[in-house]
Amino acid sequence: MKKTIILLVVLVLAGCQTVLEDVTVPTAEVKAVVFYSANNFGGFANPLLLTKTKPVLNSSVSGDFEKIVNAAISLTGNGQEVDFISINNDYVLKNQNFRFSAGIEYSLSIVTPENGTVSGKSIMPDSISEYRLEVDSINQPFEVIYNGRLSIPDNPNKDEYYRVEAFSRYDGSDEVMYVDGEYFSDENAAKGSVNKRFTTRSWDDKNGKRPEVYVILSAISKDHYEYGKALENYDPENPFSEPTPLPNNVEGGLGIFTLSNSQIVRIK
Amino acid sequence: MQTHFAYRLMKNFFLVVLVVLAAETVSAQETFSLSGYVKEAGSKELLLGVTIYTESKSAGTVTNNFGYYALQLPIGKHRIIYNFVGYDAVTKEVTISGDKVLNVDLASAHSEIGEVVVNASKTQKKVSQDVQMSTIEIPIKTIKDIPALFGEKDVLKVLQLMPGVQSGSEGQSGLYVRGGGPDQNLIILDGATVYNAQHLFGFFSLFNGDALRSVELIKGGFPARYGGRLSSVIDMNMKDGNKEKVTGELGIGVISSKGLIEGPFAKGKGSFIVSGRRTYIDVLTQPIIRAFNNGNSAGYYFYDFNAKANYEINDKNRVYLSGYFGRDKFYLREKYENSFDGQEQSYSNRVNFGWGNATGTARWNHLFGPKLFSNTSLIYSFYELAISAEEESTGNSDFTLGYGSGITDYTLKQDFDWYANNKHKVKFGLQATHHTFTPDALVVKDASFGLDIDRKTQYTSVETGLYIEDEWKITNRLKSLYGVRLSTFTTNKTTYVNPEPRVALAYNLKSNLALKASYATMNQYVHLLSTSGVGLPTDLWVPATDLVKPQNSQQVAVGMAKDFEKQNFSLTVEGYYKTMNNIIGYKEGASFLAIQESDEGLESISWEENVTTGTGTSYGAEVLLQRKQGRLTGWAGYTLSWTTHQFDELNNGKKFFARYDRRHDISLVGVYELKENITLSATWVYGTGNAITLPISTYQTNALSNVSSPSRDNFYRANGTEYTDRNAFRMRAYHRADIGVQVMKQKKRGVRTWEFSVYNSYNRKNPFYYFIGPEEQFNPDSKQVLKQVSLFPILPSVSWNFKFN
Repeated sequence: MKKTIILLVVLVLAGCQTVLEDVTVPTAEVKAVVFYSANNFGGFANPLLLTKTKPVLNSSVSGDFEKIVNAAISLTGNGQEVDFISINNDYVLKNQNFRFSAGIEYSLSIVTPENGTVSGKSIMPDSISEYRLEVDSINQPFEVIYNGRLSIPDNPNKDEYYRVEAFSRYDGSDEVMYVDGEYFSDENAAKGSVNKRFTTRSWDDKNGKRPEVYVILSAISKDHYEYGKALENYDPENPFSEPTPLPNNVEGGLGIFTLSNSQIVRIK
Repeated sequence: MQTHFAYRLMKNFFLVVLVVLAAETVSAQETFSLSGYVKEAGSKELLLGVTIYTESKSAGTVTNNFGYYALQLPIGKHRIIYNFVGYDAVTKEVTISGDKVLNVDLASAHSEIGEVVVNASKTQKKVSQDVQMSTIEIPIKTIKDIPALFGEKDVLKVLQLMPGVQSGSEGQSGLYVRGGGPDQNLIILDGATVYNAQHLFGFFSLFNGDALRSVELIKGGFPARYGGRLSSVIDMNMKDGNKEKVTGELGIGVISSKGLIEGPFAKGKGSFIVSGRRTYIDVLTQPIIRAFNNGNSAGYYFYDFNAKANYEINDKNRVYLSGYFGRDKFYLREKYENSFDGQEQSYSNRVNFGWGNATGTARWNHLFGPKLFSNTSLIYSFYELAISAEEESTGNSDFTLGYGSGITDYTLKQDFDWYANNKHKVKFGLQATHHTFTPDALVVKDASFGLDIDRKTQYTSVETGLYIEDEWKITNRLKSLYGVRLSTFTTNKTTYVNPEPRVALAYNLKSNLALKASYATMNQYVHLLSTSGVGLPTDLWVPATDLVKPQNSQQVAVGMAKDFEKQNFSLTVEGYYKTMNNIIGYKEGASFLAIQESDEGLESISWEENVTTGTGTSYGAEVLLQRKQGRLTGWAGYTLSWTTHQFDELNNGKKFFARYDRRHDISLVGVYELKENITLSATWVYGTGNAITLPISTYQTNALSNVSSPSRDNFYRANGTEYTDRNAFRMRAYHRADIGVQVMKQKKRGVRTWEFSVYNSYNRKNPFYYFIGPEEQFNPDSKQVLKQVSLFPILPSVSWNFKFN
């Protein structure tokens, strides 16, 4: 009986996988991919990431994604216009004094040498003028668990989207802290306020010293929120689930251009 | 306003039926009722769907679901013919001078060892005489004769061989009827709704063919007595049990064994039947699993159990009790012990993953008179998915996870059959169901992480259906089955009220040729949320709510039906067009076990927020050439169809083909009685490949973090994937041939049957799913190619059955 079962298992496994050589597969053009998230912090600007897509069929996908160099990139809005410059193949704003104002739409334009023109628009959200943040901490060996409770008054006339991030600072060097439940919206607002709980952790450094912990609270765009939520649930490897493409909000390529109105709070 | 209109419509419809009946009663000559029950000779099983007509064909009817019939005949002598497929026709001479009761027994045309005596009187039921269209009755013997995967006879897989009905993926028993999803089929067993009709992720269906008496599939033109689903009704009735003697069956197959016992009690006034089945894959594979897994065990099994009893209190009253219970279970047990630094350490893990259905039906048949038959049912239906995991280890706190979802129904149903006269057969009734939906119940306990979650989401609702339908013989050539159902669904805050008009017309151009047309509106108040579309038990049943509207459909069908009486063939050709509204699907990226933190702590994301609604359209043509009588029986079926969906939030709002859109679907089924004790059978199926979405390119993503740190992109660095339009790529076509042979032998105590069958006899590698992987398995720089995973190669099987005398 044992032999029969082993034989059956071998038969099933041997017959289960086939490379489809006689099937015409769809081809994909190489596109430009842009990710740019800017915020209102004076003088601070995240680098803009500009890469190329890789076809997944009939080519190798190993190695890094090719960065697009020599692209002409500009950001305009509220009567300002600024170009990006390339530093180590990352693009940053040439003029760090570029200012973002709430309610104003900004436009991003990218002209690439080989992959066409990519453009996007985003409106700077209103800042979170009023909020209540309470954080409890639990001391554990090697780590501190922070349970936060955030309450923001809801504007019933507007859809609002938020993000909570955290980072720890060790001797002037910042480390991102993973936040459980990073993105939220006012969809479930109750009794006039948006309520949210989140959890994050900081680790002691090698000397057992505890870092400074900061929370970044941001009002974000709907596009940013949908992209973030989709990325949290992203599972492209599951052959049984319906494919879930990540949201894009740029024309002529893939990616996200978004603006956040953020504030930093130190947890004491 | 809508409610008021719906009730007024229902009231007016009742009035119309009464006026029509009153007008014809005034003009009709005096008649009396000939009524009674039709039973199988030998077992005294009640037979449903038996055709009864006068030799002059001036009057005719069929037995109802409880074997009862009533004809209205004028005073005088009449020759009455009782005809049923697979049984010798019986002719009775009766003299009518008042109401008369005549119970009739029909003898099976098959001898105990399967012999078929070809006889002119044994014609098959005429499809051209039936007003209802888009309806298929499957003889139970056919289900037993057709070869099956691992020899496991499967009702639903036989239904998949019919035109208009498609299977999902390889080996699955889910049904996709005229473009509808598997949740849009109303599967009823003795009146009880079965929510998840599948074992082993759909490779086998719940229904043990041995315990069934009848199976009927309705794809369109639905009579008003049925409601609650958009696409089909699969109405199954269990056998009552042999009233004459105790008998039984035993079966041993490759993966399961089964048994059945039936017999009389209370001096032939009552009978019972009990049947059960269990797989033994877990038992057979346990030694290997333990040997390769340090003595730890894991396994899977399913079982099901059917039971029914009936009792004839007197000529006017009968009661029935029936039930089904079945369960699937995966389990894993692990335990490790060792010693470290002189300290004993241990780790143990217990995981269970199970799902199951239970139904129970109590029915009371009462005759108020020969013309009015009543059936009162009290029905219980339950479906549950349960996942549990318990972990214990030295030095760590215990971890417990429990997840469950399910649905519980209690239904009270009152149906009446009113044999008003020979031109009108009226059915009316009321059904009320109390649903309790538990889309999720979660328990998580882990002291180390401060987790202590215990929550349950529950919805209760009441669904009702008030219906009336009239089968009206307008002229000798023109017949109609028209009716209306008033369905309601009440949730916490909202009540949905929907009138559902139904009409079917049949016009006989000749005695053996009819043109047919039908129209039906259906509403469905329950939804199945599926992440995979392959019918996993993790799919959630959820109700229509204030936010998520009920699904509804409208279907028009036209066709013709022709009987070739000499050759015992019937041919039906039908075209249909169906629209579906408010069908639901998960939003892109959402899943069934989504948890978020809210004001009150960890909570599930409400499933209502995770779904999006859209529309569907399906149209096509179906051809069925069938032979139910003779040494060679079987059918050839062909379907040409298109099914598309449109959701504002999926595929950028563009219309796309449904995953199981199937342009061409062909089934050939043949059963041949080679000798009196040898039956040969074969099937061949062909279907256009499933529509799927393929990845075409990949790209680097970014966390869009506001933290200025080199570590910010360490999270969420999964590569993004760009896809083709949704379901824009076709898998390879599916085709397969199965063959089987049954050899019977009369033994002293009964009939023994050996069955040998081969599934996928020419070893076609059919697609189960596609994925993209490296051409050279262990070379990371290898180019990526499209690969297909197939499930079942050529699979021979053997089974042994014994039917006791």
